[in-house]
Parts: sequence; structure tokens; C-alpha cells
Amino acid sequence: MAAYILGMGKISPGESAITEMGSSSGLETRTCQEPDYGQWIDGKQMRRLSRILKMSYAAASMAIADSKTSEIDGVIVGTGLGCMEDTQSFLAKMIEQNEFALNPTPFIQSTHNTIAGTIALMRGYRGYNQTYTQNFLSFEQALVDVLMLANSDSSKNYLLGAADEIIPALVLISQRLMKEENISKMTIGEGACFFVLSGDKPEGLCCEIIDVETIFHPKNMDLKARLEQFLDQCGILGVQIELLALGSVSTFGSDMTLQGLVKQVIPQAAISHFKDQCGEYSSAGSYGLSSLAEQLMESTHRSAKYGILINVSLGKYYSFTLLRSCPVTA
Amino acid sequence: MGVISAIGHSRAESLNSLRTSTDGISKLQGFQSILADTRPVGEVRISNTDLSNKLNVDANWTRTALLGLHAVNEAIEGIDLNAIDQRRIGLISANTVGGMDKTEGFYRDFLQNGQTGDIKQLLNHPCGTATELIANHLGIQGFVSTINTACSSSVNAIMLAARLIDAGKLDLVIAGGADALCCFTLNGFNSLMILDKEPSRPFDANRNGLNLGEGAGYLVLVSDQFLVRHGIKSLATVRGFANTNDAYHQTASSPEGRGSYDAMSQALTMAGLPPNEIDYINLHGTGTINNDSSEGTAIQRLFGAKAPRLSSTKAFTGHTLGASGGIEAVFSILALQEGCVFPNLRFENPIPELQLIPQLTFESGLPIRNVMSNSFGFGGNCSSIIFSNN
Repeated sequence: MAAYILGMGKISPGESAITEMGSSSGLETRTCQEPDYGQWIDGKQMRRLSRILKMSYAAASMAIADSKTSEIDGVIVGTGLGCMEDTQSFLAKMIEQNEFALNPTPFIQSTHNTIAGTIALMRGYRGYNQTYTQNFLSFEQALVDVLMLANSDSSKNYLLGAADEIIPALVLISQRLMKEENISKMTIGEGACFFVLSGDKPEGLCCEIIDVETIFHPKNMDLKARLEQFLDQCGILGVQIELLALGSVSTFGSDMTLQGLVKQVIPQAAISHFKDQCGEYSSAGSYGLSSLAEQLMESTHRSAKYGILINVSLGKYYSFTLLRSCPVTA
Repeated sequence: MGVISAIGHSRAESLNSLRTSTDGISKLQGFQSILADTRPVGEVRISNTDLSNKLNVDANWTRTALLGLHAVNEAIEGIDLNAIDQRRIGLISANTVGGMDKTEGFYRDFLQNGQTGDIKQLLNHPCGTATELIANHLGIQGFVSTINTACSSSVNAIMLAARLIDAGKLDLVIAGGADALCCFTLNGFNSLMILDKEPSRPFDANRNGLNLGEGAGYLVLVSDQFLVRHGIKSLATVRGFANTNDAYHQTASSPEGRGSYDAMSQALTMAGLPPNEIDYINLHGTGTINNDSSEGTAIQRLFGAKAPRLSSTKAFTGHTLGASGGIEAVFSILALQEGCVFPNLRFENPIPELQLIPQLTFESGLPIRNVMSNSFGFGGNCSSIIFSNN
């Protein structure tokens, strides 16, 4: 069970995109710095595609270009809330127009699989096509699938990705939820991150995804035990891990406890908090994976270096993703 | 396995309706819509209140989750989930609408004023949450996953379950899908002008669109080793499957059905079966002009002049979207168990360019060994799966 990253592409929030939504609410948003999509998408499609579809298509195109491969044998996408702009647009029109004379385009583009479907359609990919939507595990479950695919046929290339978008209604609803639940501070984000993966090791410095596990556990999970079991299955010790990308948000209280538990299992690792950059969103793990992979690839020394992505949301969604840099062997 | 749809709340009720050609298509009653009088649907005749009381769950569950749990309960009857390592159990449940039925109510108020609308109605909106509600209720703590590939969703859920078991990651997986009717999808399909004003006529020359339906269908999948260890026999075997993309148009299928052809032929290859070993095809057969001619063309190309017995049970249930692959998987296995095939209701004349005559009556006492079930969806998603007798 392993796959190698051949290419990556992302549209993500940058530093300048931090917006405080009114001084009293305590809600911050991290919205994406969007490029000029013209280099990937023609004028006709540009008018038709919603923002999440443009972000996804552009990020996918970047990953494919970065991979320098021409063949893509499958498209596997995770999205927590799917294409919200189109969903909301159709819903609003349906109510406002009392079900009369509705334009079908937003309905067509409202289903979660529009992201993977649009990529397949625009690039002519007729192979495997799959969409996961398990809230905060959506991306990692797509990765579970790709690792199985790469394991059963290592010669093929798979496009893996995730996308979620912020829309104004989500901001408003988040503020109301914070008020109701007495949450003083929250940062919501968005993004589209794509990867080209293969079971065959490419030449040169690369990054290997060794394994991934997703856990939905509503209460009282023994995080330490589950993490130890995961590392045991992967055949490595916690002390071997040098980098830890931790995706937890202090909003929900238990951040320091969580970090403490993780430190007990993985004592040596340098910790980075990737949600400080991308904010919290359903498929934020994809941003975490890309930043951890980038960090690992920066390593220039000659031995393999291990990194782990631990993504925890709302105290019930957990995932562990183990990575290793593969240095150039003489 | 377990099933609930407009033609029955259980396997036995469904089989009885299929045997007696009793469809479940009628006037919408569950919610208000200007389309209620003119667009018949396949509705499950039980209210949310009755469902939540019967299932003993909270009244704020969405209808998708309620229908899902109802069918899951039937599927796991007689199985003691507590006797299996919790981390080795999976629930993979597809759906396409999530909690849209409740969201619609919230949004009517929210649209007027962003500070209004009962936010509790919104909390179960995500597709994944329907699956979590069911998993929580049953105490499943292993792999909990939701797939949404539009109308092919639940076949993909069953495929994933088979692959996870094959890869040794899980021992037992409950897999299928659920979807509830709601105003959003009814209007969506109506805006595409593909809803028939009459009960649908799949594969007929004069077909004029689909009827929407609702329901849920699930299988319990285990490995060969699990069967041996527990000394139990399976109802059927998942023999082959494939997931492909038509990559032709966002909603329409290519005229030659290249995606569906690929899915069916790759499923046969995986099963190691020649086309003539398929005894019955449960068609996607929505009743739209486009789907049926595209699917039919692909079938003729793959199976030649002598196509197997085939029928679309959507004329009974309506098109249940994310649930259809699960419901039709249950029907396919009933066909294997009972040695029977189901009629393609309301068929009169073959599609001129195809000359495919579907199964016209319920027939039993047949040697049905291998059944193919097709599910295709928006976004070009095409899936085909083959179930076999042991």
C-alpha cells in the first residue's frame, strides 16, 4: 500500500486573504487567492463554471502539468459540502420563482461529482471516476481509494484532489452557529488541492505516501492508542518521524490536550499547524498533505525522512497519513 | 440485504410487487410542490414521524437517513455486529440529496432574513451526515464513508466495499445507498425537461422521461474467510464490476454509450465471463430518450443480436437516484435466489433503431446464474456490476 506523488497543484488562501468578518463575531475567513483562469479555461466555460469548479480545474491542471505525465487513468475527488454556490443558487431561484421557469445549469452543477465529472469531461478522461463526501474525512477517503488502486495496478496514474468553497451563506450560518454554541473564535477556509499519484516510484527525489487511515469516532476515542496502532501497521516507530503537520483548531477546546497526546507518540517531530494558513474546512487535509509533501521534498540529505499528517476536526473526525521522502539513490 | 422503496418496505414486499406487476408510481403526497399534480413519483408511503418512531431515532433525522436505516436494519437482521471487531466493520452509504428535505425548510426563512430559519434543520444537510447518523445508531466505528457520483452512487459504494474486503482492510461492510424525494431534485429534473407526466415507459419507442422515486437498498458484504469462520453461506457473489466515465456531456450520454459500454465490458472482463453467460440485465433504463437509446446501443454492441433478458425496474420504483444501485442490487440478487426475472412495465414498441425487446412478464423457474446491474449518472459516471450464484 503506497503511492508516489508525481505532481501537485493548488489554489489556496494566501496571507493577504485573511478577513475578519466584523469585529464582534470572532469569525475569520481564509479565501483563496485566485489566479487568472484564462490559461486553463476558455471564455465559454469561464462563464458557465462556478468558482469551485474553476478552482478545481485549475489546480488539477497544475498538478498534471507538474507531473509531466500525459496519461491519467482515474479521477478521485473528496469534497465535504460539494458545489454550494450552484446548490444555493438553484434552491434560491426555486423558492423565489415559486418553482417556475428554472434554469437547469445550477442544478446540473450542484451535485458533488460535478468536480470530478467536469475534469473528466474537459480533459477526456474515460477511466475510473469517483467522489467521496464524508464531511471532514472526504479527502482522506479519496486517498484511501487511490492507495488501493495504486496497489492493484502500479503502472497507472491517478488524479486525486479535494475542493470546498466558502459562500456568503456559509459565513452567516457559521456566525450563527458560533453564537449558539458559545464559540468565541473560528477561522473557516477553502481551497482546491490536487495531486497526481502512481504506484511506481519515479526517478529522482520524490515523496511517498505510505498509508492513510480515517476514523469517524464521535466521542472518547483513545487517540494515542489508535495512532500507535497505525504506526505499528506501517512498521515504523514514532521517534523516526521528523515532521508533523497537525490539523486541529483550538476553537473546539481540546487543541493543547490533542497536541500533548500526539507528542507522547511522536516526540521528536517539528510541528506545523497547516490550518493557520488554510483555515478549517471539510477537505483541509488536502492542503495539509501538499504542505507536508513540500516540506519533505525540501530535505536534501541522503536518507529517507518521515512525516505524518494528523487531521482532527470537531473532536470526531480523525485521519493519519504517513509520508516519506525518497532521496535520490546513488 | 435490505430494501425499501415505493413497491415495498422489505425484500418480501418488493418481490411480491415485482411478481404481481404492481408499480409504486402515483401522485406526490409527502410535500408541497406545484409539480405534485403533474409529475407522478415513486414515493415510500410512510411519514417521517412514523419512520422515526418505528426506528426509535430522533425526530430531526433527515428522510434520507431514515430510509437508509430502515433498509440497513433489514440487511443486518440476524447478524450480531458486536461479535465482530468494531474496527473491521464498514458502512459505505451513497446518497445525492443529503438533508436537502430539511434544508429547504430552513432556507425559505433564511432567504427572507439571514438571522431566521431553524438552524437545527440545517445540521444534517451534508450527504456524509446521513451515513454518520446510521453508523452512530448502530455503533459502527470502523470505516464510515459516503459516495456521491449522482445516480451511479450506490453501485460505487458496493464496489468500494468489495475492494476494501478484498484488500484485507475490512471483514464486514454494509454497502448501498439511500435518497429521499425532495422539492429540489423534483424541480431540478423538471428544469431539464426529463420528467414524464405519466408513469414512465423505459426502453419504449414512445418513452418520454423518468419518474423520480425514493428509497434505500443495502447489501452486507463479507470475505470468503469470514463465511468459513462463521460457518455461514452467502446469498450471492460480487463477481465483477467497473466504474468508467463517458466524458461526453455534463448530463447527456454519448449516442453510442461509450461509457456504459466500457463499464459493462470491463465488468465482464473482471468477472471472467463471456457476454452470453449473463442471464439477466437490470437496466439503468430511466425512461429518458437519451439514456435508453445510449444504453441500448451499448448493450447491442456488446451482446450482439442475442441480448440477455433485460428490464428496468424503475418503471416500478421510479428513479431513486443515489439509492437506485442499492435497490437494484437487491432486486438482482432476488432474481438469482428465486430464478426469476422482472417485467419491464408499460413497454409497447421497441426503440426503432434498436429492436431490443425487454422482458414483458414476471417469469420464474429460470436458471439465472449471473445478473448484470447498470447505474449511470450525471457527470458521465457509469458503473456496472455483476452478481452471481455461488
